[in-house]
Amino acid sequence: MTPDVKWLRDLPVRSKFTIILVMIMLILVFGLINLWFSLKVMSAVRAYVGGEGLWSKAQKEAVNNLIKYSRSYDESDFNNYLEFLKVPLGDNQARLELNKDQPDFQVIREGFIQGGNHPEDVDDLIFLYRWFKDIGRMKIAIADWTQGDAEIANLSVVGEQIHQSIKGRGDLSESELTQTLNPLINEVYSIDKRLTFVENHFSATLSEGSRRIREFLFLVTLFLTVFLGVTALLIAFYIGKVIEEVDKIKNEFVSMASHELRTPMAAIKGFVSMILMERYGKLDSRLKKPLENVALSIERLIKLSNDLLDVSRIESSGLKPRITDCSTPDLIREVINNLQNIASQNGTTVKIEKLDESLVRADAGYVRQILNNLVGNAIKFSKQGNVIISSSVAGNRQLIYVSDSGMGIPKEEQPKIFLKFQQLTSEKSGRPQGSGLGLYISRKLARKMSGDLTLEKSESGTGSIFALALPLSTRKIN
Amino acid sequence: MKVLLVEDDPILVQMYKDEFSKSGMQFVSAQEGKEGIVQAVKETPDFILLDIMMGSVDGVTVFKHLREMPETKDIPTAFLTVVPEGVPQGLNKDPNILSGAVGYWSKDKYTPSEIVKMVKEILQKKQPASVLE
Repeated sequence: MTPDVKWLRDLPVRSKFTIILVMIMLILVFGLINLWFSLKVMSAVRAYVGGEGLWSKAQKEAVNNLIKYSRSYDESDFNNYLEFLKVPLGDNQARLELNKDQPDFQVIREGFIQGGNHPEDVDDLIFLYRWFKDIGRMKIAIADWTQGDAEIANLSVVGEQIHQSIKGRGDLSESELTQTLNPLINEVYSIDKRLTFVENHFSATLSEGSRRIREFLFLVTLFLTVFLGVTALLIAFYIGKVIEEVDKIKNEFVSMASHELRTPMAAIKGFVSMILMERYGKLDSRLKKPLENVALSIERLIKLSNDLLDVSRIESSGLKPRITDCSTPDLIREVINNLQNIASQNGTTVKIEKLDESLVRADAGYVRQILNNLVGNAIKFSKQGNVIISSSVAGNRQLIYVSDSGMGIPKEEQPKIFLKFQQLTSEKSGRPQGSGLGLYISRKLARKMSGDLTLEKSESGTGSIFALALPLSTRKIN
Repeated sequence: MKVLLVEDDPILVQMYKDEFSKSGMQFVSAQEGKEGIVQAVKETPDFILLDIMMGSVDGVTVFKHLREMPETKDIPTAFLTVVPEGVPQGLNKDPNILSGAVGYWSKDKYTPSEIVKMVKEILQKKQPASVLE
C-alpha cells in the first residue's frame, strides 16, 4: 500500500516530476561530492604518511650528521646536519601557521615545501589539517607531530651546544673535549630514541585514521545512496500511481461531461426532427429552413463532442479494441448505404470496385468509424464527382482504398493531414465544416488494431487516394 | 404494442412518448432502474428501451435483472444511451451483455422516428437481432 501523502497528491504533475528530477540530481551531486571528498581525504592521508617518511628520514640524517660532526669536527658535517633539520623545521612552520585563526597560506605552503612535500599535495595537507584537526586520530597524530617538533627544538639546542663546544674548544685536549661532548651526544641519542617512538606512533595513528575514515565514508555513502535512492523510487512509484489515478479521473470526467452534453443535444436533435416531421402540427413554411439549420448545427455539435471524446480516450489509453474476424465488404456496403443520402445531395457518385473477400482481424466498430470518416470526407470534397472504393491483399494485410475526384491535397499540406485539428482549406471552398479530428482519430484507431491509415496518392485537381491497411485473419471465409 | 422506456431525463421521456404515441404504440416509462424493473413485471411490455447512466441502479444492472426474471427474460430489450461502447460506464462493464440485447443505440445518432422504426422492425421480425451501431 502506498502512504497517503496529501501534499504530494495535490501537487501538479509538473512539480511531481520536478521532485523526482531534484532527487536524481541530489543523488548525482552527492555522489560527486562524496567522491571528491573521499579522494581528497585519502590523498591527504597519503601525503601525510609520505611527509612523515621524509620528516623521519631527514631527522635521522640530521642526527647522524650531528654525531659525525661531534667526532670529525668538520663544519661540512654540521652544515649537513642543519640542512637535514630544515625538513622538520619547515613542517613545524606550516603547523604553527595552520593553528592560527587567520593563517597565511603562503607561509604554510612554503613550510610544507621546505618539508619536502610535493607542491601538488600541499592543498590536501592543508585541507585535512583544517577539517580534521580536532577529530579522532588526526587529533592524536597532530599531538605526536607537536611532540616531535618539541624534540626537534631540543635537538637544535643540543646541536648548537655541540657546535659551540667544538668551535670554542681552543686548547682543550681530546679527552677534555670528549668529556664535554659525551653528555650532549647521549642527549642527542635520547632525543632520537624519543623521536623514533613519536614517528612510529604518528604513522600508526594516521594509518588507523585512514582506515577509519575509509570505513566511515563508505558507510555514509552507502546510507545516503540507499536513502536517497529508495526515497526517489518511492516517490516515483507514488507519482506513477497518482498519474494513473489522474488519467482515470480524466477519463471519467470526459465521459461524464460528454454524457451531460450529449443528453440535451439528443433532445434538441430529436425535437427538431419531430417538428420538421410535423409531429406537433403543421409547420410554418418560414420556419423550415431555420429549423433545418438548427438540425445541421446540432449534428456538427454531436460530431465534435464524439470526436473530442474519442481523442480523449485515445490519448488516455482508454480505448481498447474488440478484435474479431471481420468481413470488410459488408462494412463497406453498410457505410456507403448510410452515406447515400449525403452523396446524392452532393451530386457525388459512390462506386464499389473489386472487393477482397478475406477476413481481417479488426474491431468492426473501428473499421466502420474509419470508413465513415474516409468515405464521408471523399464525398464532401467530390461535389458532382466520383468516389471509388476497392480492396486487395498485399502481404499479410488487406488494403482498402478510398479515392475521390476532389481538389486534392497540396504537397506541403500532406504531412500535416493526420495531425489534430488540421483542416484543408481552399480558395474555392473556404474553411470546411468539421472538427479537423477525423483523420487523426482514424489513423489512431487503425494503429490500435495493428493496421495503418495512409495517404497513397494526392494531386492537386485530380483527387486523393487513402489506404486503410488491416491485418488479415488466418481464418478463411466459408 | 407496448414499449417501456427506462430513462431518467424527463425531457427525453416526453420526446419518445410523443413519437411512440404518434406511431400508434402504447408507451410507458420509468424514471429510474428499480422502477423500471417493477414496471417491466407489471406492464409486460413488448419491447424495453434502457438508458445506461441512471441514478442508483444503472441500465446494465437493470438488464441483468430482467434477464433473470421469467416474466421479462424474453422481452426484446435495447440500450438507448449516449454512453459510447467501451467507456467504463458502457459495455466495458460487462462486454458479454451485448449478446443478450437486441441493440445498443445512440440517442444522439438516431432521431425518435428512427428509433420507433427500428423497434417496429424488430417486433415484426423484419430485421435480425443485430441492429447495432
